[in-house]
Amino acid sequence: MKVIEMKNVDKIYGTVQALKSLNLEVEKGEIMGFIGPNGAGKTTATRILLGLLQSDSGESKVFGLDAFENAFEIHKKVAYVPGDVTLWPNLTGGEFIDLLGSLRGGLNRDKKEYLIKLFDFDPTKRCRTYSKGNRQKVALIAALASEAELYILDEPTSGLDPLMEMNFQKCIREAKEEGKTVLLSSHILAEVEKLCDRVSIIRHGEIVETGSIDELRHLTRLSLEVIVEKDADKFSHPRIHDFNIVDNKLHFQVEGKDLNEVLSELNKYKIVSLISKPPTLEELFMHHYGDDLSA
Amino acid sequence: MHRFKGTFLLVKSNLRRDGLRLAIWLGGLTILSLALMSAYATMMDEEALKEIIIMRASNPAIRMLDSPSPGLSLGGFYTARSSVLMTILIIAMTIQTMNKHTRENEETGVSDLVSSTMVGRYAPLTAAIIVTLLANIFMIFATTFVLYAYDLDLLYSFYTGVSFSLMGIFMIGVMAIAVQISQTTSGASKIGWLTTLFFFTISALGNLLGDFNPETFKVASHNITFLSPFGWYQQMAVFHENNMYLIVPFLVSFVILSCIGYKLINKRDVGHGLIPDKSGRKDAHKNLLSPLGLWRNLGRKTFILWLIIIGAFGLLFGYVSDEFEEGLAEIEGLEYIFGDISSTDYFLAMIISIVVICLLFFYINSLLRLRREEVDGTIENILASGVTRSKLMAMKILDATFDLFVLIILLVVTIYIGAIGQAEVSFLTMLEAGVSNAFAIMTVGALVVFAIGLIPKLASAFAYLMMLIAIGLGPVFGPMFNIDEWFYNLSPFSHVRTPLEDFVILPYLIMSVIIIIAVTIGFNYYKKRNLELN
Ligand SMILES: Nc1ncnc2c1ncn2[C@@H]1O[C@H](COP(=O)(O)OP(=O)(O)OP(=O)(O)O)[C@@H](O)[C@H]1O
Ligand SMILES: [Mg+2]
Repeated sequence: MKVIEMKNVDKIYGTVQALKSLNLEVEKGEIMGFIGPNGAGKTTATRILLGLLQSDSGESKVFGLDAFENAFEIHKKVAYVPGDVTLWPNLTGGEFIDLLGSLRGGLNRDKKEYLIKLFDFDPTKRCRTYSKGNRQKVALIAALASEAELYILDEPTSGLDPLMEMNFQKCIREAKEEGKTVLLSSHILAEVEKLCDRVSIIRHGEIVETGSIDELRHLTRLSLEVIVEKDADKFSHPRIHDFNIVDNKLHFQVEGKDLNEVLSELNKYKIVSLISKPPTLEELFMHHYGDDLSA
Repeated sequence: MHRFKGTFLLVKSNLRRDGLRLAIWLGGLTILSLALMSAYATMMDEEALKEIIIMRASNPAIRMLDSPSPGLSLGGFYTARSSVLMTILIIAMTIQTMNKHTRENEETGVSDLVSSTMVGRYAPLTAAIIVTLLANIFMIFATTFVLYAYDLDLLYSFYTGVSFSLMGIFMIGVMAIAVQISQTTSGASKIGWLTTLFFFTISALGNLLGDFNPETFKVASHNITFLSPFGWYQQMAVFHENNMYLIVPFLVSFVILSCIGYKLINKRDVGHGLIPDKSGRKDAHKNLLSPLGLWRNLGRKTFILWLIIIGAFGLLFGYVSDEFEEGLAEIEGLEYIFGDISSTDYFLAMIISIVVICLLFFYINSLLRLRREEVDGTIENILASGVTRSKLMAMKILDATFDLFVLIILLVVTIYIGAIGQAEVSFLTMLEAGVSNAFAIMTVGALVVFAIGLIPKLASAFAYLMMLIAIGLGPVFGPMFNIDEWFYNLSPFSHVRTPLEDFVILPYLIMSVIIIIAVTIGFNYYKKRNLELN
């Protein structure tokens, strides 16, 4: 069953096209990573899913219901952490958590206490005095303590220290064990890599790639370091990239689908040793956004 | 003294950056006062002067908008006729200048070299006070010059200048506090204007309740006017009594207010976490846990402040109610139109319709909170939870309207209590005046709801425009402008029954229809539109 389904969604702000026929699907029980550079449209997409914004065209469904028309029914089963957490300065953190919980239709008290301990959070302070990381904790605890079925988290760990980030990951894994669905938008690739079953990469408002992390790796280049016995300088192949030679040691990159062909060509030069490194998500990211970065 | 370090540099840089704006203000004010003075001086011989003073000073409604006439002289008439306008403009300049050199600098982060040097904690406020003080002192000399140029006595001309600028100086003190309390420039201006409105209302009522003596051409105001700085400057009666000792309350309050401002600078750092804030509740009280509970919680402090202000107003006016009969007795030929209603009741109903103008300000601001939460982004939290937009909006309207009625009833009750042992007043007449004015307020409110739904980005500008129309063309200020009768119809307050008229249901029906239509459209668009976040 698909919990989230966005089909050909467009969103235009004045002259800026924030989303261009965006497609996104998330299955029940899945943790979906949603990554992309600044301004790619992650926040816009999540706000459309929550019915805060209306798309200009296309279809956005959550639990099979229209995200805008049925926002009220949907929200009972959704917990959200906004990208910019703003709180009412005069409420305490504890009051805020209770308020959101009850507006959502219920809050698990034990879970609230557990999360407050886990995140080492002081709920008695006024929201205006919280630091960035603590404001983030308020929103996270409010979301995670609810009995939601779907968590929509927009860069939930920004401002958290590494220890708290680990605790956050622990909570998400627990949620997955309980069969909950998570849409996690993030810049932090290591986090997505650790947590997510599948990843969608968004760029300029379009999904450029979707798949499991392994699948996405398959699409990208491997980094090879090969030592051959003879005539290393004569080796060349149209499918290899960033090629260079030091003595008999060859360095190059090759895309997964060309690996077989390149290796059989290399075999003619007698391979002595071969080291291959899988790309990190970082490299995968660079592969897709390389022209953005160099531009 | 290290706390004041850099003050002088900041003053210089403020004057350099802001010199042009100040020059335009000061130049404009000087030209305006010159224009007013020249009009009075050329048109008026003594007979004309006598006639116009009698005409204006004997009419209680006009007395509210003028400063009380101190006697028969051109200089005295200048003050009576133009000082309200001049002091309000001086106040506007003061509010803007204080804001510009404190809050706005902080909000935009002044790029000047000066700010990168070591600047003491008190220096920015001190520099703002000095610059604004200089502008006000300039106005003393400008006014002196204008009056002296028309052959008035030099010393008295100087006193007149002093009396006008003292209002600006008082407001410097108010703004020294306002800029610390409020997080935003517009919030600080609001505090400034609300204070002005509050004190102006007191002195206006003091003048309304005063006596005019056609022999001496002097208006003796009711003593409540001394509760207001407007009263202090007006009672100086320059050119006649020259009560210059009234400088004392100005200077004392300026010093006290500024000191509180400086104290708050230290306190403000507390909010930023140097010393831990007092801790609050770990869990929410169950009353908070609903949209209505949230609105009530967010508006509580403001509401309590208004309860105090309105309660004080009510007791004060109730207490002086016995003097209304006297105040009216002297106006020839007025008694016959009262019919079966006592003049005390008539006056109290008028007072209620004046205080209600302040409540319009409260009501509109309370409704605009819905829009402010959207701009701040906090609304995203609520709307992503299980609350529909209609419910959120409905609860805001309920919250604001409830407060409005509580305040109106409080006003009526406190007037009644204040009047015990003073005068016979009719509770029902007053309540009716309050409730019928509430209709007008809710009509303006409905248009604001309409704007929040339909034109969110312009909603607050639209709301203030509506408020200006409703107040400006209403029965209190409307007669100031000599414009076509028809325009007064634009203000809902013009359609509220005054105690002397017969009750006609049509205006109330029309207002109800406007309310229903505007609110319905507002709701429908609010439900369907994009949230204008960030
Ligand atoms: N209210 C708005 N008006 C105009 N343009 C907007 C508005 N909100 C977002 N945009 C534009 O839409 C695009 C997508 O923005 P969005 O906030 O969805 O990106 P994002 O992926 O969340 O970025 P980040 O990683 O920085 O949070 C950007 O180009 C942004 O400038
Ligand atoms: Mg974002």
